[in-house]
Amino acid sequence: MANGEEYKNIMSEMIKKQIVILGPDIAIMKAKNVTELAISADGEVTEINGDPQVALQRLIDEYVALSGLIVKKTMEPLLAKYPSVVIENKQ
Amino acid sequence: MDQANVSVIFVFSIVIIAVIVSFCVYIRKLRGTLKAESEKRESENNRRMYELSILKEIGERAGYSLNTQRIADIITGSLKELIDYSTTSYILEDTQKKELLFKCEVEESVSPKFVEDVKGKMVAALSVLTDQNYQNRTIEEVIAGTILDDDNNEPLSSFFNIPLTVGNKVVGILNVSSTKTGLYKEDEMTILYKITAQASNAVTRLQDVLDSEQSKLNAMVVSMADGVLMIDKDNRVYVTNPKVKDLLGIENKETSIFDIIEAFEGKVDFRTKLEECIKLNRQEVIEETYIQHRYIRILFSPVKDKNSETLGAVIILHDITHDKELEKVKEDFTNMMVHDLRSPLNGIRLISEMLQDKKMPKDQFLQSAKMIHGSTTNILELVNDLLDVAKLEAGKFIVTKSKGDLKRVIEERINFFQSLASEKNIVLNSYWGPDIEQVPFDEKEIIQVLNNLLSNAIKFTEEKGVVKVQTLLLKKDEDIESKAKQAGIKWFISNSSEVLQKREKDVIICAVTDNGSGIRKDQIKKLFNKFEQAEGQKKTQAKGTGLGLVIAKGIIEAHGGLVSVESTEDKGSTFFFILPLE
Repeated sequence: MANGEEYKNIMSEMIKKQIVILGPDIAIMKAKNVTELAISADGEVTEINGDPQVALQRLIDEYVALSGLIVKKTMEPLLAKYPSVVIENKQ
Repeated sequence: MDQANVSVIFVFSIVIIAVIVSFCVYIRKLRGTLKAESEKRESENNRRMYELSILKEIGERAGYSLNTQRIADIITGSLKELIDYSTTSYILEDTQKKELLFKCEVEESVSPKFVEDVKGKMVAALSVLTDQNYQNRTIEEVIAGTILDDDNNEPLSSFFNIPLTVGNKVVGILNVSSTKTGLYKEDEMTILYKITAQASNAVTRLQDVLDSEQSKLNAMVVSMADGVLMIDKDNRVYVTNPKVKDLLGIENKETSIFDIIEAFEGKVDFRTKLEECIKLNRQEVIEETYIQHRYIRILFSPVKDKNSETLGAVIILHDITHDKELEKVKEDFTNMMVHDLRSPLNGIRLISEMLQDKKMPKDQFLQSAKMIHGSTTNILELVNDLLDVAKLEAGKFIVTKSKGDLKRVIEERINFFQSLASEKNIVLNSYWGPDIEQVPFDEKEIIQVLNNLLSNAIKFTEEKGVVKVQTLLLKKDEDIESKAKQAGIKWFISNSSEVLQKREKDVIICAVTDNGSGIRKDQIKKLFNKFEQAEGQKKTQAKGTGLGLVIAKGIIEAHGGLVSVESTEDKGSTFFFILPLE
C-alpha cells in the first residue's frame, strides 16, 4: 500500500507531464478541479485532503475527459514506477 | 391630527417606501440575474452553434476524407470566432516520409522566436505523447498570415496543445498561443478539446469503415505469392504484403518508400522507374534483378480512378529464381543430350574414315565394325529413351498387361545381370516372400524397369558389395516392417514410406537394394525428374541421360503402380516399385 507521499509524487509527476503535453494553463486548471488536491503554481501537489486513491483517480479522469484515452497511455510508465499505487483499470 | 397618528402615518409611509425600494432592488437584482443567465445561455448557445458549425464544416470540407491536415486546417482556421490568439499551429507526423509538418498561422505579429518556441513546445508534447525522439527529424515548416516582426520582444505567455488522434494513434498536435498571460479560460479551452475529439472520432469511424474494407483487400493481397506494393502519388506505401518484405529483406514493421528504395539501391533505380510509370502513364518492366540471393522480375503499372485520374502505381515483384534454375537445368540437359549424341557420332565418323583404308587388317576391321555397332547402339538407346519420355509426357505410353509370373521375369533378369555383377565382385541375389501371386503386367516394359534398377544398383555399388532383389506380397492392411521381418527381408523401406501409405489395394513390392553410398534426402526428389540427376550420378555415371528412372516411373505408373526410393547415406539405397494385384 502506497503512502501519501508516494501519491503526492506520482500526481505531481503526472501533472508535470500533462504540462508538457497540454500546456501549463489547462493542465493546472484541470488538476485544480480535483478538490482533494492543493496545487502550487508550477503544478506540484502540496497537499492531499481526503483519500489519495480517490484523488488520483479523479485527476486521471480529468485529463482523460479532456483529451481522451491516449493521455492515459502516457501515464502508464508513471504508474509502473509506483507499483504500490492502485487505480481502477490500472492494467 | 394628534402626534400619535402622525407617527403611525410616518412609520407606515417608511415601511411602504422600504417595501417599494426592496421590491425595486429585488426586481433589479432579478433582472440582473436573468440577464446574466441569459448571457450565459447565449454564450453557451453560441459555443454550441460554433461547435456544430465547425463539425458541419469539417464534414463538408473534409468530406469522407482521412486527411488530418485538412481537418487541422479547418479547426485552426475557425478559432477566431471563439477565442483570441496570436498564433494557431499544428504539427503532423508523416510516418511514410518519416518527417514532421509544422504549420503556423500568425494572427498578431509576433517574433520568429515566438514561433520557434511554439514549435519547440509542440515537438516536446508530441515526443512525450508518442514516446519517440523527434530531435533529429526533418520538420517541414509553413508559416502564413501576418508577417513576423524581429523587433517584437513579446514572449510566448499563454498556450495550450490539443492532441490529434485517429483511433489509438497520435497523428499530431494542435496549438493555440498568445503573447498575453493567463488569457485562456478553462471552458474556452475545454470546448476546443471537445471539438477536436469529435472530429477525431468522425475520422476514426471513417478509418474503421475503410480498414474493414481494406482488410478484405489485404487478405487477398497477403495471400498472393508475388510481392505486391501500391504507392500513391506522394510516394506513400498504400498497400503492401509480407512477400515484399520477404523478397527485399525488409525488417521494419511498417514498410516505407525509403525501405523499398534502400533495398533496391545499386540494383534498380526504383524512384525513377516509379516516376516514369506514374508521369508517363505506362507500364515499366525490369526483366531481372538479383536481390537477397533471388532473381526478381519487377512490373510497375499505373493505377487510375474511375475518372482516369492517376492515383499511384502498383508494383509486382515476381520471384523468378526457380524459373532461372529450371532454365539452367534445361540448358544443361540439352548440352548433355548433344554431348551424348555427338560423342558416338564422332566415333563413328572417325572409324568410318579409317575403314576407307583398304589395306586395313581384317582383325582391326572387325574391331572397328564392333565399335560402330556399340556407338550406334548407344545412340539408339538414347533416342529410344527420349521417345519413351516424349510418349510418357504426351500420355501416349501404352502398356499391355496380362497376368503372368513376375517371379520368373525377375529371376531371368538376375541371371542376365550376374555376369556384370561378377565383374565387380558384387554378390547379386534374391529373396522372396512366402505368398507371391501372379500379377497383371507388361513383361517387355517391366523388363525395362528391372534392367534400369539392376544396372543402376550394380553401377553405384562398390566392388565386393551386395545387391539384393527382394519381392513381397503386401495386403492392404498389412504392416510391411513385420511382414519383411517374417520373410527375412532387409531393406530401407519402412511403414512411413509415402508410397506404401498411398496404396489402396493388395500389392506386390519389388525392391532392389544395394549397400552403396546412399543418396542424400535433398537429392532423392531429383532422381525422377527428367532434367535433373542426383549429384553422385552426375559424377560417376559414364553413360546415360538419367532418363532411365523417369521412364521406369512412367512405366510403373502406367501399370497403376508407384515407384519410390528409400536410402540411408553411407549404408545404401532401396529402389522399389509396387504393382497392384488386380
